[in-house]
Amino acid sequence: MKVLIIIPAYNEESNIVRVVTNIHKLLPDYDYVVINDGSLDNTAQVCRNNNFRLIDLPANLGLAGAFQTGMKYAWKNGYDAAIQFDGDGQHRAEYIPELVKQMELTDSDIVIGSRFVSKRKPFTPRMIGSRLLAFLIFCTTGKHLKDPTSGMRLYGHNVIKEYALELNYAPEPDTLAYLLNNGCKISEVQVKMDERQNGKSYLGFLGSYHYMFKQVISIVFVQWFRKPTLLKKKK
Amino acid sequence: MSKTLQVFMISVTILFSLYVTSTIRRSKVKIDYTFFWIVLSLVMIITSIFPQIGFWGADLFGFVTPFHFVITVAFFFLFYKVFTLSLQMSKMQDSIEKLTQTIALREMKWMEENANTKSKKNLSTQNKSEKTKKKSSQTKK
Repeated sequence: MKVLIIIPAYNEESNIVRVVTNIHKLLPDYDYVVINDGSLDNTAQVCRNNNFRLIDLPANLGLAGAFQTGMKYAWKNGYDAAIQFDGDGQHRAEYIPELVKQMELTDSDIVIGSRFVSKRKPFTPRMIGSRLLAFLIFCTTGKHLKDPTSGMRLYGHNVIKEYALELNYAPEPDTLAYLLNNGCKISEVQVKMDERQNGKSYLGFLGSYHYMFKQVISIVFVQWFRKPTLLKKKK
Repeated sequence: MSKTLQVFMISVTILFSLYVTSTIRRSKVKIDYTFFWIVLSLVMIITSIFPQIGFWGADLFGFVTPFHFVITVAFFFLFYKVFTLSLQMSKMQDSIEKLTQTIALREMKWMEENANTKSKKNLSTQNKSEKTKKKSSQTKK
């Protein structure tokens, strides 16, 4: 299986070298691409100095836009699967082959690198949000997702095209709920994640509430009005 | 409130929400931009079915009629929406400017590099031809 590792990076000059060299070291057979999302620091320069494969966006698009760029690249270059991988060192490269193996074994469309398949969810504010989203996804789709907010997801060939070309396919829980309702198969693999080491997350404190509000409205209301995906038509 | 007015209000609000949902269905609009309109149409449907809410609000804040109350609330809502639209527009304009500039700068860099490599190539071919001329002249001698 030809897999592309998509690494969106926004102001990650202090992390990106460690992340990519780690991938080089552990997974020399895998292709990767760094998407610099119009960073204000020297992320792009650092990548060029180290000869990383880089797509340098001239303006800031946000995580969804940056990730979609990676999906377009994956689609145009005929990859069988693409994995979303954080540029801040939270995700561990050694779990990528496990996700790929799971996809091959279960024939899933999406595999989530989940923190809570075999481990319990702690009661931090973030995880309460995650519980709420998981509960809403269960109510609207009837399927259990243990870790809908995990940013480490492997997307199969079937969904790459839609993520690459369609509107409203942000790599977020609401899209997962929508795809679940359209007969997409999603499975999870237990992974371990680290705390971010340097720099700031995409989401601030107010940003998290805004994010939750959007996700809740989108999962509960909006997905019912969206047209069925190409995936469903195929099946 | 008269029955005909209420029926009119309900049908208008339902038509409006159908229009909003149909744009989502045809994926003509980003979901982020629809939250405002979804919430607004829900509020509109509820208030047109239960006009008592308008009377209650008017009483609470001391408006003369519920009509004044509804109009004021709608006014503030739209005020807020127009302002956030300005914010979004500024951001978009900024990114378009950035895009245009970056593309132009990159193209210029690319052209210069191209020109450099071309002139180098020309130089090297000239040198070669001179050398071959020399060689040929030497052999003639």
